[in-house]
Amino acid sequence: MLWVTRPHPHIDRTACAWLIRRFVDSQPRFAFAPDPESAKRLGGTPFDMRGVELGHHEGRCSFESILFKYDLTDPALHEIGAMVHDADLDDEKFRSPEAPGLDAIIRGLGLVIREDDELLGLTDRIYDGLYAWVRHLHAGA
Amino acid sequence: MVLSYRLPPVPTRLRLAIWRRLKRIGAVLLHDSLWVLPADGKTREAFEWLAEEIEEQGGTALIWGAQSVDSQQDQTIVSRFQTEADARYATLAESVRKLQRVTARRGGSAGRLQQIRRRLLGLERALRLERRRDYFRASGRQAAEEVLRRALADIDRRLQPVADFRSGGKPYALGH
Repeated sequence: MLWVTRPHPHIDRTACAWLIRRFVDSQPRFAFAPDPESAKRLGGTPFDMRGVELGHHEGRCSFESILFKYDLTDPALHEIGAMVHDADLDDEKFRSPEAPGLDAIIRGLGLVIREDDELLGLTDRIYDGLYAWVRHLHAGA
Repeated sequence: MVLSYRLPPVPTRLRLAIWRRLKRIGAVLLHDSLWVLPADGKTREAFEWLAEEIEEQGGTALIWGAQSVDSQQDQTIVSRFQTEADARYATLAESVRKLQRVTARRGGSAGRLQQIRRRLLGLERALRLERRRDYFRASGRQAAEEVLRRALADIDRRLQPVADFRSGGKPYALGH
């Protein structure tokens, strides 16, 4: 499936791309477009864009909207959702201690990596690591 | 970047939520109706999502990437950002000093000092938020950071057990 979001992804979009790749679509392709109309022309499912289903709604960030839409109930994913929400919206809703650090890392990577696909490749590994760590905390082992 | 919006008059709770979010990202309000932020990826996104939410609630919102026609006007707006940030830095510094006065006057048990230390750490967190929304490096930042740094160092010294000094032991790792 083709998934489309705005170029120069930051925290929410990089996290959404990871979530889609690992838990929603095993063979995803990603493309970038500036607005939902161009996304539609590309024939993909838009995410983290204004006016689309997988965007910000009722106080949810796009990552949380994907969790909601695809019924992803893994508590570790919801904990990562809390980090992404706090980093993206900066409203301290979950008071996630990881959020400011995650925000700094992803923003900094955006400054040194101009190629969006390359950035997503790297951030995928960061979220893999975060997910493994949160699972580890939940398992208590 | 400029945002202007209109919301249905009720409920008030909603209007307040939007207003709070704008204050939280450090937007400056001009002429009671125009919210201004310097343009970068993050601030643009913040305005766009706010606009989306305003429209979801039955309001309307307009966003412009704006350019002043003269540089004097830019400078005036930058000064507004700095003045507002400075006021927030001053409030934080005053809260730190108030806590310091409490310890200076009454000293206090270790439990009491720990409590004050926790409040200082809360102010440290608040100061980090200020830094994020201080888009034009207001002059009050350094002073506020310095006051807080000294207050924390002072309270850490007081919390240091006397025996530790005598034995030349290392102080607690109360890093901040």
